[in-house]
This record gives sequence, structure tokens and C-alpha cells, in this order.
Amino acid sequence: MTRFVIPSTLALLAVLTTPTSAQSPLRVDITEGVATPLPIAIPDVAHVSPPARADGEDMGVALSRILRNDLLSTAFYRLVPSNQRSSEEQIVFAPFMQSGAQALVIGRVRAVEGGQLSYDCTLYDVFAGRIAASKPILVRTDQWRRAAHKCADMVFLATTGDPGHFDTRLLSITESDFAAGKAATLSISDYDGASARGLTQGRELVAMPAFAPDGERIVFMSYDTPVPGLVIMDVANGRTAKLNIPGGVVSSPAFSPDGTSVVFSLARDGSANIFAVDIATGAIRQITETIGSNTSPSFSPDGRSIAFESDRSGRQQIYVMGADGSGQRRISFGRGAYASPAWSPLGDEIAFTHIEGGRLRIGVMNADGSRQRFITDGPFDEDASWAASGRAIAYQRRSPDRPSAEVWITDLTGKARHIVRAGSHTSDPAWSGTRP
Amino acid sequence: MTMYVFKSGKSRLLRISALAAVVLLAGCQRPTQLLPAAPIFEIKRVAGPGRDQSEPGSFATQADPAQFSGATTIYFESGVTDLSESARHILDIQAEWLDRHRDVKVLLEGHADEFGSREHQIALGARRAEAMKLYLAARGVAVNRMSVTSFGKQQPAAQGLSEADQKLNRRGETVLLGQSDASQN
Repeated sequence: MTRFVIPSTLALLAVLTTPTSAQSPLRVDITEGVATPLPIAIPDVAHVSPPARADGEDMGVALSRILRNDLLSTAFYRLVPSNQRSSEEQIVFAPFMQSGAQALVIGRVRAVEGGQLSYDCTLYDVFAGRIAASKPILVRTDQWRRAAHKCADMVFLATTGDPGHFDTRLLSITESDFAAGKAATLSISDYDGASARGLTQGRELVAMPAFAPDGERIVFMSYDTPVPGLVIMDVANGRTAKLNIPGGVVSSPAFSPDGTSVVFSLARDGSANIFAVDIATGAIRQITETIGSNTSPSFSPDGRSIAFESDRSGRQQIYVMGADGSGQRRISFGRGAYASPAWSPLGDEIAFTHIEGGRLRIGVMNADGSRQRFITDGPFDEDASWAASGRAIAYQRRSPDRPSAEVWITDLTGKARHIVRAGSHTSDPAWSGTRP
Repeated sequence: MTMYVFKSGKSRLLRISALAAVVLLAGCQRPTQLLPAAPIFEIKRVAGPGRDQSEPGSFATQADPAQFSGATTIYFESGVTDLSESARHILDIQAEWLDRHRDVKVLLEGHADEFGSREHQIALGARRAEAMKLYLAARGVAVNRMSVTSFGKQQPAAQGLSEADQKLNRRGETVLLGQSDASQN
């Protein structure tokens, strides 16, 4: 019997002793990516007249639902049910305290002139009885979803210390079944799959999209010609420009963190190497020069280093080098092959695809190759793309029983996974940074 | 200018949209240039089975060389670019046919299976197509008649994820792009 008593006593002690730093009592405790969920109450957002509608729904209800979905998708929060609506009167903390909520998000929304929506989002520390963070949010009414995402970003930052990844966008490639392998459409949506629209017309194959750091431009591979090219597109107006690359097969483009150049792989004369093109001048510089295939370059966020995959030693492995190609060194040494490195936005980790026995799964390791772990189980998981928070990864998932690819998002433990983009074959996710 | 692709030995012609192969090859020699440049030639790319092959403006198809040489596709072992004996045999037939039809140009397409990263498979496909080009060049096909491209795993011949299906995706396809040859009319 004592078995049961001791742990609960310890737990009680832990509760009493941990939140002593008064500075930030609302912190989600995250150890090795595993969080102790923060109990949070999110009553429906209150209206201040005039009321606004969201696609026929009560705006306050819609905003609250998206806010809850955002926060709960991370596994960092536990929703404490609350049947009351945010009122305009003073907040009464007692009921929330009694239901165990440590955090409380109260929102007020109203329509303002010029087709805009004003949403005041406030995070309360229930036990301290004070405001932990607050933000006035103003968006165009047709972009009302962004208001909820911005509120979620505020709560995430205040409680984890990391920027949120909710007011962000996702690129993906969709192939319809009848045109599989012949044509595909590049689409952009909110990170949660909502508000999707096509950026290309689906007349040719497109692949491997990537965001520029500003989130306003993208680069992707296009087979509008028999030998594919790299296309830069301005997302807002759809304007495109083709990068001029000397003969060979180009693939795997990625912007540099300063947005001035694009690194890519160019296959010619029997090997593939990594190059960079300066977008303004068109000047091209070769960065690797070995036999075999060097591809999938990914910049460190400080722009000083590039992670890439190479099969120079046999099977594909992950390497890191200076942005000028100096100091190339292998960092993956486990069993099987390692591919598609993606440097985290915080710079400390690299996500990758691990390939062994015909099985592809997503893993993460420190940027020096240490502390490697797998976060999905495959058998066909690939194309990892980081969230701006560094706390989640979008990837493409296929399974033998559902051969059409889908886009999923997972936390770094691999436990909080959910599907984002399904339907016909959807692949190649690329996740933007936080929108301005 | 109008280019033609031979539909069959009996001199049925297929019209294809202008310039494709010419511009394609010119592109290979292009030095560093400014953005945005590259005048991109217009091509109605019609790939895969089931299309109407007599449709004006369509490309040569995999079916065309099949009618001439009996084989347009070669297969590779997993992860490599080596040409097997049977692959070389098929390329020999293609080289022989190309020697008899010197105005025809070819697009060599490399493909790969699902068991590798998207990026790696594109590079692998390009290297496979390059291996085909080298072999055909050694068999007397002028290099300026050949273009190399890769689809990696973007254009699978078989969709299933089993090894039996994926074997069919480790392949190289030779697509004809041609210009009318008086001797064939």
C-alpha cells in the first residue's frame, strides 16, 4: 500500500516546490521534448457589438475552437472544460481555480471599420490572479482565422518561451489520381490545412517547394520543360521567375537565411553536387565537388553552415559543412541510410529521413549528430519540415494500406501526431516561419 | 518550324510543337545568366499511358521507339546506375535504330524507386540517364542528339509499395524527339 502513498507525497512536494520562480509560473515544463501539460481554460470568446460572423458561424465560438485546436495539437496543454463565456465584467478566478486551470485565455472580438476584426487576447495566470500576456489583434475579417492563430502564438510564447507556429503557412503538392506522375498542383494553406489555394495550375509536375525566410517568396522544381527547372514565385501575386542554371538536372532548392541566394543540387556528368545561385546577379558557385550524389542542402539558421546528404561513402549519410563548402564532415553514423536533413529554426537540431530495409521514418538529432532518436515509425514517412517554434515537424506519410500520401504534423516525441492535408496524394510539405 | 516524330516505320508522322530538343540542348551550354531570363519553350508534355497518340502537338512517346526497336525501357538494380547486360542489349538496339534515323533526337529519362529520399532519387535518376547517354555515345550516337532528365520517384510506373512494384520504377526510358527525315517520308 505504501507504494501508492509515496509517489503522491512526492508529487505534492513537487507541486509545492517547483513554481517558486514568480517570474514565469505559467511555464510548460518540457524535458527532452516531453511536456507536463499545462491545464488551461479557454471559454468561448465574447462579443462586443457589433457581432461578427465567421463563415456563417458565431465568430467568438469559431475563434475559440481554432485557438483550442492550435494549443491542444502540441500536447503542451490540457484543456480544462469551461462552460461559461468570457464576460465583459471582471474575471472571477475562483471557478477556474477550482476546476484546476492554471492558465486562462479570455478573448473579446468586435467588427471594426474597414472590414476588419479586432480581437483582444489575454492570458491570465489563474493562481496569481493576474495578466500573464495580452495582445490586441487586428486582422482583415476574411482572414479571421489568423486572429485565433495569433492569439495561440501569444499563449505559446508566454508559456514555453518559444515562438508559436500557428500563424504560419504550409506548402504542399497535390496530385490527382488520374494525373499521378504527370501533373501536380502546388498549394498553400494555413498550417492547419484551412484556406488552401492552388499556386500553380496543375499542368505539369512540380516538386520540392521551400519558403524564403520572409515567407513571401517560394522556390520549387518545375517540369514545365522536359529537363526540370527551379522557379521562384511571389506568393501574393503569383509572379514567377525561372532561375537560370547551366545544363544538368536541378533539384532540392532551399533559400539561404538572408534570402539572397538559393542552394540546390545539380546532377550532371554522372554526379550530383551542391551549388548556390545569387538571385540578384545570377552568379552560380559550386559548393561540393565529389563523385556520387550530394543533395538536399539545408542552411543552419545563422547561414554559416549547410547540412546535406551524400552517398560519397556508400549509402546516403548526413554531412555538415561551412556555407562555402569548407570542413565537410559526416555526422550520421547509425545503421541504414540517412537523408533529407532539415536544420531546425533554433539551430540546435537536425531532422532527417532514416532509411533501412525499405522503411522510411523521421528522426531528429543534435546538430553535431549526437542524441539521435526516431519520432515516427514509417514505413513511408519523409520530407520533414520544421515548425517555426522548433517544437513540431510536418512530414509526408504513406502506408501500405493507404498508398496515397498525406501531410501530417507531429511533436518531437512523435506522440502528438495529426493529419493536416489529405484527400488525393498530398506530399512535399514545407512549413513557413511566423507571418508578420 | 514544324518537327515530326515518326509514329511507325510506315511513315505516319506526328507533329510536335516546335523547337523542343534544340532549345533543350542549347540550354546545356548556357553560362551563368541573370534572372529572369531563360525563354522557356512551350511544350505540351503528354506523358504516361492512355493518351491519344495521334493528337497534334503531342510529344513522341515511349510507344514510338517500341514500334521501331522493340524496347524503350531498361531496368536498374536498387540504388545503382550500372547497366545490366539486358539493359545494354536494349540500348544496343536503340543505338542501332538511332543510327538509321539520324534526325531523331532522344530524351533519356531516369527514374527511381520509393525506397530513397525524394532528393536522392532525383539525383540517382539523373545519373542513370547519364549512364545511358554515355553508353549510347560509345555506340555512336552523337551527344548533341541526347538530353538527360530525371523524375526520381515523381513519376512511378507502378504505384504499389511492394518490392515487385518498385522494381518497375528503377528504370530508364528513352523518349524520341524527332525531325522529319526525307528518306522516311
